[in-house]
Amino acid sequence: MLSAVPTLLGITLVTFLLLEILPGREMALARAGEGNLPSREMLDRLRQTYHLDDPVSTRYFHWLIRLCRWDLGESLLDQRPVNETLRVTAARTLALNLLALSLALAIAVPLGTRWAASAGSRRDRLGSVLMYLLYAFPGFAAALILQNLFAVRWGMLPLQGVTSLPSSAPLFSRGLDLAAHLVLPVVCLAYGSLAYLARFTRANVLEGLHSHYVDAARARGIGEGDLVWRHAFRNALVPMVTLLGALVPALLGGSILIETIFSWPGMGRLYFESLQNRDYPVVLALTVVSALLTLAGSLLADFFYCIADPRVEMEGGFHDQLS
Amino acid sequence: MRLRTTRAGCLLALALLLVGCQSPTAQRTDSAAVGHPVDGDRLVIPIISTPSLDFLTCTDAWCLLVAHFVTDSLVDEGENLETVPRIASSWEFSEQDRVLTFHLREGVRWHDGAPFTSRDVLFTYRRTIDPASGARADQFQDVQEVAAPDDFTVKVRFRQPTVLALDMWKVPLLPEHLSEGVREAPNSPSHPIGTGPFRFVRSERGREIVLEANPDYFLGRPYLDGMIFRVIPAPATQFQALLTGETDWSSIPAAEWPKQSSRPEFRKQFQIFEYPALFLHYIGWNERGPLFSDARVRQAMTLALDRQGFVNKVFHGAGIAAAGTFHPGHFGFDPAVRPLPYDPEKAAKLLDEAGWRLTLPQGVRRRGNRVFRFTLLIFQGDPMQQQIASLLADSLGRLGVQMEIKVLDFPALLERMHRHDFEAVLSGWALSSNPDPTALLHSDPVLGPSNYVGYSNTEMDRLLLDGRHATDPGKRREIYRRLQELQSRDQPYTFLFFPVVRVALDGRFRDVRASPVASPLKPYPGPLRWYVPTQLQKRTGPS
Amino acid sequence: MTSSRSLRAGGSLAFAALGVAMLAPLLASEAPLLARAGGSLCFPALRGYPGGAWAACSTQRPVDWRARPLPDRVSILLSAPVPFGPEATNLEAVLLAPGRTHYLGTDSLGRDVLSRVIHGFPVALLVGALATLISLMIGLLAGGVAGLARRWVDLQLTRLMDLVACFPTLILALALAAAATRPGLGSLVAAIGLTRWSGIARFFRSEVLRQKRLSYVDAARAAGAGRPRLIVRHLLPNSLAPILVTASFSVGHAILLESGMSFLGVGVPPGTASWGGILAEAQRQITPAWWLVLFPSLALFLTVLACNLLADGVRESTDPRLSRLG
Repeated sequence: MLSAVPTLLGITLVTFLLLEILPGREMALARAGEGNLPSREMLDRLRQTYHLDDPVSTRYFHWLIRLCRWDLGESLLDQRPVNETLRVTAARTLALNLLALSLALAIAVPLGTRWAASAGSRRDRLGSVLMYLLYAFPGFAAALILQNLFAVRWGMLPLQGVTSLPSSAPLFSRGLDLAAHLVLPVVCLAYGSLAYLARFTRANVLEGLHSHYVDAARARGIGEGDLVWRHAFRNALVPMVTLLGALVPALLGGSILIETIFSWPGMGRLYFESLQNRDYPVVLALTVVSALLTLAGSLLADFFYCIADPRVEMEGGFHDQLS
Repeated sequence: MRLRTTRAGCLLALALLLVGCQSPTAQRTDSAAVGHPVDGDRLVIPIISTPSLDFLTCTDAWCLLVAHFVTDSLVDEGENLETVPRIASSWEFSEQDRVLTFHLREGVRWHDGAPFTSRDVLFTYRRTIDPASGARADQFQDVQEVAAPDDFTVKVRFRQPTVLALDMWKVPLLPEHLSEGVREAPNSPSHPIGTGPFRFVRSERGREIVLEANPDYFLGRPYLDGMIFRVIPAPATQFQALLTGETDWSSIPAAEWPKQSSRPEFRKQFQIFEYPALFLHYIGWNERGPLFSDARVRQAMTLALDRQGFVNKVFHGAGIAAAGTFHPGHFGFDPAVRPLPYDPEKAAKLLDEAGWRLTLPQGVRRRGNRVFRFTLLIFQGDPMQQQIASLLADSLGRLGVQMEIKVLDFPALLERMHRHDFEAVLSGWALSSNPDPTALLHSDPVLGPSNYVGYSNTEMDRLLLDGRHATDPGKRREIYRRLQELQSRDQPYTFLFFPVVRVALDGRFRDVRASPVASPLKPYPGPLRWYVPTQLQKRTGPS
Repeated sequence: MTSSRSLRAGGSLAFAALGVAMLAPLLASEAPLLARAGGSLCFPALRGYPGGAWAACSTQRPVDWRARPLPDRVSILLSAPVPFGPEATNLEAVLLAPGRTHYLGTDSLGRDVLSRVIHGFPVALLVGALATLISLMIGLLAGGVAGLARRWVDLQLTRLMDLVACFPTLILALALAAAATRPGLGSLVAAIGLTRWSGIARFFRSEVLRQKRLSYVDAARAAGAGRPRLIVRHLLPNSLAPILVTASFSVGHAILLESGMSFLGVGVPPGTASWGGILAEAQRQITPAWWLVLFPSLALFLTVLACNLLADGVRESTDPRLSRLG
C-alpha cells in the first residue's frame, strides 16, 4: 500500500508535464475570444502573473503543495473554484458509471453463471456469440443509433441532459424524469462491460466447475445446482473483484464519448471541453482525479484479491485489455 | 412607453382573457397583436458552453448575450440597427462633432443597491483602455478624453470627428464601487453585478445560467420572471430540445429547414425569424508569403470554390454569398458589386498567368522549383469549416493545387495567427452594425488589429481612413462604394458568406418584433417587452 | 465457440479487411483501372499507390477523370468497381440514399459513402497496426527488462507501468494528441501507441517472471547468454502466442480509439477518410441519414470483431486449460 505513494506523486508529475507541453498556453490564459488577440504587453504581464517564466520544477512544486491542500485553483473560463465544479460533475459521472456497472453486473453475472452451468448447450453457444458481437460493437456508434431510434424517431426517451423538469416539480416526477434521462447513457455505457463480464464470469465459473475441489465435492454427492452457485461461483468472485478495479479507467474514459453525445454534464465532457479551451486548472484537476480514482480502484481490487487468495501473485493480464 | 402594469390592469386583462376576448388556443407565428401584457413565465435559451462572465474582456456571443441583459450600456441598437438610448437618456454633439455629451438617467441603481453615476462610465472607459486589463480597446482610438462634469453627465472629446462616436458606447458598463484597487477587476466574474433588466442569480458550470427579473429597472420590471441559459453543446441537440419543449428558443439547423418548414404544426407551434447574421466567414491568405502575395492567385482561389453551391446544397440556402465585408444591412452596401462567380477555368488561367504551370505526371502546379502546396488551418469545433475545407481541397486538387487541412483548437489557432505562422486560415469575423472595416483591412497593426494576413494596399488604407472620418452621408456612401469595388478586385481575403440564421421561438411569447439583420433577442428593449399570456405560461414558480 | 472456429472466422474477417485495405485505391477510385490514351494503354488507378507514377497516362496535360466529356483520344476501358474517389465532392449529389449510382449513398458533400468506407480500412488498419507496433516495442522492452533485471529496477519500471495504467486511455490519448506540435496522422499514432504500452509491459513482465523459473533459462544462462539475447532468442519466441493475443486485442482497441477521437474531431485530419469522421458528420444531422451511421459502424464493428476473434482463437488454441471450455 505504501508503494502507492510514489505512484501518486508520479501521477501528479506526469499530469503536470503533460500539460506543460500543450501549446497555446498564453492564448488560453488571456482568455482570448474571437478577434480579440491580446497585445504583447498583456502577454508579458500574464507570464509574470502565472510565473510562466519560472522553471518547470518550481511551478510543479507550487502546484503540488496547493494540491496537497486540495486547493485546485479556479477555472480560467468562469473563475469558479475547481473544487466545486469537480464535485458536481464527478458526482454525475460516478452516478452514471456506478449505475452502468451495477446494471452490467446484475445481468452479466447470473447469465454467465447459467451459461457455464449449461456449457455446450445451444443457449450457451448462442449467448457466447451474442456477447462476442456485443463486445465488439463500438459504444459511440451504438449510442448514436439508439439515440436516433428511441429519442428522435419514437420519442420514448429524452434526448439529452439530466432533467427536463424545473426544481419546483414534485419529487416523484422528478425522480421518474431523471430515471428516463439515465436510461440511454447507462445502457450505452454498460453493454460493453456487460459483454465482457458475462464471458469472464462464464469462463471462471466453468473453470471452477472443473477444478479438483469441485470434483471432490461432486464425488461427495453435492448437487449440481449447489456446486454451481456455492462453489464455482465463489471461485469466480475473486478474479471478478480484480476486474472491477480495472473497469474504472475504462468507464471513465468511455464516459467522454457518451457524455458528449447525450449532453450529460459530467467529468468526461468537462474534461474534453476544458482541454479544448486550455482551461489548465480544470484539466489538471480532472486528470489527477481520474488517475487517482483508477489507482484507488485497482488498489482496492488487489487488496481484496490478496486477502481472498494470498497464494496468488499480482500480475497484469486480462484487465489491461479493457482500458 | 411604460412597461409597468397596475394590479388592476392585470386583473382586467385576466378577466378579458377568461371571457374569451382572445381565443386561448390561438398559436400564432407572428405576434403583431400586443394584447395585455402580464407578468410571468421564463425564457429558456440554449448556449453551447458556459462562457466567461467577465464582461470587460469577453468577446464571445454567449458572454455578450448575458451581458446584454444583466448590464446596461450608454446606448444600444434598435430593430433597424439604429442607435437608441439606454442608460443615457439623451445626447448631443457639439464643436463640429468633436464633443459628445451624454445625459444619464437618474435614480438608477446597481443590483446591489449602490447608485449608478457617471463615475461608473468613467471607470469602464479607463479599465477598457488599460492594456493590463486585456480588453479590446481599439474602438476608443479616436477618443481624446472622457470627463464627468457631474453625476449624470458624461462628456467625450474626440481627436477628430468619427462615425464610430456613438457605436463605441455600446459596451457593458461596470460598477466603479466594486473595484478595490486600480489593477484588479473584482466585479467578480462569477457573480456579475449590473444595472440591467435582469439580475444574475447563479451559474452552474456546464448546466445553466439563471437570471431573474429586476423589479427596479428604470424602464419597469420586464414581464418575464427570468431567463435561463441552458448549456447544450450540440446545435442538433439544441433543436431537439426546442421540439421537446425543454427550451424555448433554437436556431434551426440548415439540414432541418427543408423538412420543418413544410410542416404546418411546426409553423403553428413556433415563431420563425430569418435574418443574415452580422458575421462573415472568410479564408485568409497570408500575404507575406510567396504563394499569396499575387492578387491573381487570390482571385483564382476564390474562383475555384463554389461558394454559392456550397450555401445552396450543403448549407441548405442558409447563407448569402459575400462580395466583401459589407453586409446587406449595412449603410452604404452596394448590390452592384457582385461576388466573384464559380469559374474553375478562369481560375486555371489566372494561375497559369501568375506562373504556376501544370506539370506531369502528378498534375501538380509548379513555378520554378516550387510546388503549389500549402496548409489550411481550421478551427476544431466547427463542422462547417471542415466541410468547406474539404470542398476547397477537392476543388483545388482538380486544378493542380495541393492543399492540406490542419485542425487546431482555438488557443493554438489564435497563437499561430498571432505569430503570422500560417499559410491560409479559415475563420470568421463578427461584424458590427457599423460597416467600417478598418480593423480588418488596414495595414497598420494598430489600426488593423484583425488584419492577420498582412494585407497591405495604400489605396485601401487611404479609403478606410477617409471613410472613418467622413460624417457627410453622401460622401460616406461614395467612399464605401469604392471600398467594395477594391475589395472585389483585390480579394484581400476570399469572402465566403454571411450565414443566414433561422431561429424558432416558442409561439407563446408575445410582442416579439423581428429585426432585418439581428436576432429578435438583440434589439433594445426587445425581450424586455415580451410576455406570455397567463393561460399559456409554462415555467412558473421559483427557478 | 471452439478455438478453430474463432480462428477461422477471425482469420477470414481479418484477411478480408486486410485485402480491402491493400486494394482500396483499386476498389474505389475515380481513375479507371485500365484506360487508353493517345494510342497506348495505361493504369491510372495505380497512381493511388506510392511510387505508382509510372502508371499514369502519357498525355499532354494531366487527365481529370471526372471531367465530362473526357479529353480527346482518352477513353476508359475498365473503371474501378466503385468509380468514385473518397474525397471527390459533388454538390449535385448531396445526401443521397443508397441507390444504383452510389451503392451506399452519399454524404453531405456528395462524396460516395462506399468509397469512404473502403478507404477507411487502410487508415484504420494502418493506425491500429502502427500504434500497436509502438506499444509492443515499448511494452515488450519495458516488460522484459523489468522481468529480468534486479529488484530495484524492476520495482521502478513496475511503478512506471502502474502509473501510466492509471490514466484512462482516452484521456491520455486526447492530452497527448493535443500536445502535438505538428498535429497529423503521425502524432495520432504516437499518442495512441503511448497510451497502451503499459498493459503489454505488465503482461510480458509476468510472462518473463513465469518463464524465468523454467529450466531452459538457467541452461541458456549457463551457456553465457546475456539478457538481451535471452529476451530475443528465448523468451520472446516462447511467449509468441500470448503476445499475438495481446497484439490482436491491441489493434482492435487502437482502431476503436482512433474512431472515437475522430468522432470527437481530434483524430485523423479532415482530408483522410475515417469511419469515426463519417459518424461525426452523421451525428450533426438531426435525423442522421441512416446510411451514414450504419455502414461505418458495421465496418468498424467487423474489423474489431476480426481482431477479437483472432486473439481469442489464438489464445484458445494455445492455452490447454481454456480449450476444454470451448
